[in-house]
Amino acid sequence: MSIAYYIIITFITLLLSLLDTSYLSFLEISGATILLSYAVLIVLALLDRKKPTFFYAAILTLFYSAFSSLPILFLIFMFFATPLAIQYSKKRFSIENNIVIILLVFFISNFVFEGLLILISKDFSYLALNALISFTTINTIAGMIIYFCTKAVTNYLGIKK
Amino acid sequence: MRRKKLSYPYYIVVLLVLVIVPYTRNAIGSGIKFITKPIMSSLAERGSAHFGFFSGILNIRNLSNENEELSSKLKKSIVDQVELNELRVENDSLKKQIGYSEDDQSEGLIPAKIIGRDLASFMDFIIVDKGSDDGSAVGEAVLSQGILVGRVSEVWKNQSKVILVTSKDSIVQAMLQSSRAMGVLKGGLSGIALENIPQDSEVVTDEIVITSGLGGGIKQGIAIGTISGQKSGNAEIFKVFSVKPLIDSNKLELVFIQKKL
Repeated sequence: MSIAYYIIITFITLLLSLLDTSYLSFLEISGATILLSYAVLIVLALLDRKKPTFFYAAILTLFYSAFSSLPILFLIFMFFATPLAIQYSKKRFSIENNIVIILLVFFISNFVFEGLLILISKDFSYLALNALISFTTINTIAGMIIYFCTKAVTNYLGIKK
Repeated sequence: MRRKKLSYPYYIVVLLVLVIVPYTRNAIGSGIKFITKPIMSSLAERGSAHFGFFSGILNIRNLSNENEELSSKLKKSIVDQVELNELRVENDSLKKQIGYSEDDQSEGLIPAKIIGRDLASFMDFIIVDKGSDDGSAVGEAVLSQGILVGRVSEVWKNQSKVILVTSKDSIVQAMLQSSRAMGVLKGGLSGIALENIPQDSEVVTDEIVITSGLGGGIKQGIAIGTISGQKSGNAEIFKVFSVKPLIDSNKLELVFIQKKL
């Protein structure tokens, strides 16, 4: 990867973080909002882009630490453990990307993300369950859309791994 | 020979983030927020304009019930307003007689636009575009339409972080307007709760909860919400009530920071 590539990833990460915190945060559905940047992280991991994935995860941790109140250790854990787990599982079980696998990956990742947040906040209630379901559903749908859009764009532009 | 691809920036950035960020969150955050403030403001304005419409559609199911409830409350409010006006005239007249003077309530209010929100709904905070340069300070009350929405928890040069009353980290000294019983108002994902109310207090549903002014920082008498039900049992030492906020913090766009006296 060239320096220009790193700079582009940094700007894209900044833009996505700002979209999440300042734009999409106004679209609240049952106590949950769309996290585009987390979906993009999962897409990168699914597409086996190892180096960009972890560079993106590092920059994302930096911006999220600035724009959100989420605990730093939680951010580091989620942004590094998620792609690691996806890439390890794909390698270990020789899984190829198909619609069911992608759906499962997004579902589990988002469920763990919100579930862990609820565990940290120790606020177990009906509203927490509602937020968990809502967050997992809307972010799984958003993630699937992003994945297939990315796939279409990379195929169109002829970008190889 | 093929040139080896550059990879050191990758390792440097990953290491920096893992080692430095946990210890310098505030300093880094302040710098990044300062640089990105115009973009944040612009995105927040657009987000509010675009998604206000969708929020309305998503909540359409509740609008009919809310409309009926509001109509009946409006009728009651008109009657209350008439009584209030009479009392205000009487109050002004009595103040004049005893020579009491009061500062203008509108003084010391700093209007601020919301330019950022928290990503997790139960760690509620908002970022506003007024900071220490504009006179904002930690602990000051943040109001909207005269109703308490939160308090300033962190202040940077041009921005401030506001912990909302609905946040699990929020604690506000509050009291009941009619029974005058004092307690502590705490937020959380399961809603706002008014705790530490003595068992002998007679509290009714829809009674208004206001700030008690204890602990400084927030003036007495700012409305927060209404009592929606009792959470505690009779065997407990103190009563705990669930409180319905008077304002939906998700629909806020502009707030006012009330400067400390």
